[in-house]
Amino acid sequence: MTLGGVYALIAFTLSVALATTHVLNVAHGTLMVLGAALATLLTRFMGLSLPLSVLGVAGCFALMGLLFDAVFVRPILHKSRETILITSIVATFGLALAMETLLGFYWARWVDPEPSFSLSLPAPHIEVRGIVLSTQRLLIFAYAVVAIGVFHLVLKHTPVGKAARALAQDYEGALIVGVNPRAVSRAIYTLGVSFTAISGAFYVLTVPLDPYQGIWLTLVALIVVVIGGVGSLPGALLGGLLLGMIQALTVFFVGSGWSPIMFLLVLFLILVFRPQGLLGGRR
Amino acid sequence: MLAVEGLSVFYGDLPALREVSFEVRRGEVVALIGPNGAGKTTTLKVILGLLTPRSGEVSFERKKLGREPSYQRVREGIALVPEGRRIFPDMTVEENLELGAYAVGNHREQVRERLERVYALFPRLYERRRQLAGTFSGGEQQMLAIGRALMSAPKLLMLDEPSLGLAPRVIDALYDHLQALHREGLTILLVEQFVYGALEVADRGYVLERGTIVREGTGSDLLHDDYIQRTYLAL
Repeated sequence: MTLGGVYALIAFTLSVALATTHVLNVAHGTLMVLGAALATLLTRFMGLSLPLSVLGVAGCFALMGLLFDAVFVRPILHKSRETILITSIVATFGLALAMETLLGFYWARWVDPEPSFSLSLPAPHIEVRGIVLSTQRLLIFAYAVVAIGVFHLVLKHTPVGKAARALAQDYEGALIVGVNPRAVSRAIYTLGVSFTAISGAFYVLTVPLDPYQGIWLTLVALIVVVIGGVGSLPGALLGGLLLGMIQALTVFFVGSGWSPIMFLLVLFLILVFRPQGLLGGRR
Repeated sequence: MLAVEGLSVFYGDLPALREVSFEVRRGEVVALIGPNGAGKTTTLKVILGLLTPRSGEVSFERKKLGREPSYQRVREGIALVPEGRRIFPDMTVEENLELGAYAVGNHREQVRERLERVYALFPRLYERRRQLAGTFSGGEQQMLAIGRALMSAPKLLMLDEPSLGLAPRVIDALYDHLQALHREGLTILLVEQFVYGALEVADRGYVLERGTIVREGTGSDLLHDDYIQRTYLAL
């Protein structure tokens, strides 16, 4: 169950970007890894407390989001859905490879020759009525639910969220009612990239990451998004929970090596029987 | 109120508009008529800033708009009911209407007030305010698109082929609504292929063919013009 929180956390900002701007950000996972790396740097090597370094990550990556929007999103924002999708995949794939290589190289050279990013909590377990629970996973689950809830409410009920959905549904229609697409995408990517990096920091509370796992994380996120339904944030949560349960059951009954195979099997079944995803609308 | 001077627009090398000039005065209904591909939609898009002209100038309330972005123009009081309505299908009627007020500030009470005015004009929208707009019929979508445009409290309302795809009875109702809005003092620029109806409500009209204006005059003059009767009214 709590493992599902981890998968939902990996996926939800990818889902937001895809649903509002039709950008498939392949560098999504790499941004998570970078977030984890920065958090590790701030806590382990600079001695900041965990909440403080999460704030630091949020700030740095909000700036990164601004830059990402200006370089990768704004130039293609007015193009057709298909063009945006393809251009963004190619461009962000390049970005992912570049960031990954730079991070791997300079971390090994300046910080630690064997790069591994992880964070730890002061109390890894708590006991509730005799049941031992992992604090990290509880924290991650709470974070995922809250963060997804916040994004969901922002998209559903705030002016900027409504404008973002309007742009996604009919770009020219949104221009006609007076939406400024640049302001909307700037808001989405500042918030989105920042949360992506924070998610990376939370992720390494349970499992450490190395610099080269970004693209793998993006793939996992994509599976979650496709299962849950593109554009549906509750779907991302549900997809994450489903994958978490599948993994737990697979590990218990078959063996841990089988879980990627089970993931792909579920993905296959979803694509065949419910291509719009569990909670996805009509497309 | 609106002045268009020497507007030329090209799609690649193809001219869409050549030296088009016309004006809309405060309180008028002006019809822009002409066949498919004459450049009517292009003209409206340039006025709202969705297209950049190669040359020429659009002024609104004596101010040159230059390369001002669309959201700025909506704020200054220009609204468009676009061809094909372009409503947001996966949003409710009320969300669509609220987005109409997006550019002009989001004071809750003001938005409320305007919502009520639109609902008073189109009671059908009120009955279905929680319904997804994509499930609407053509006529209802047209009402919604007009209501959405009115939410920005425009000074100039532009409509692009509002009668397209609607049943004659619905078109009559639509034109009744437009006339009601006009009586309240709204200035209207109406683009139509439904020439008879448009010229009947229009104070003045312009005929656009292959990117240039070939005729202009008062609505009734144009209705009785030989050339127009032969070409557009098939009399």
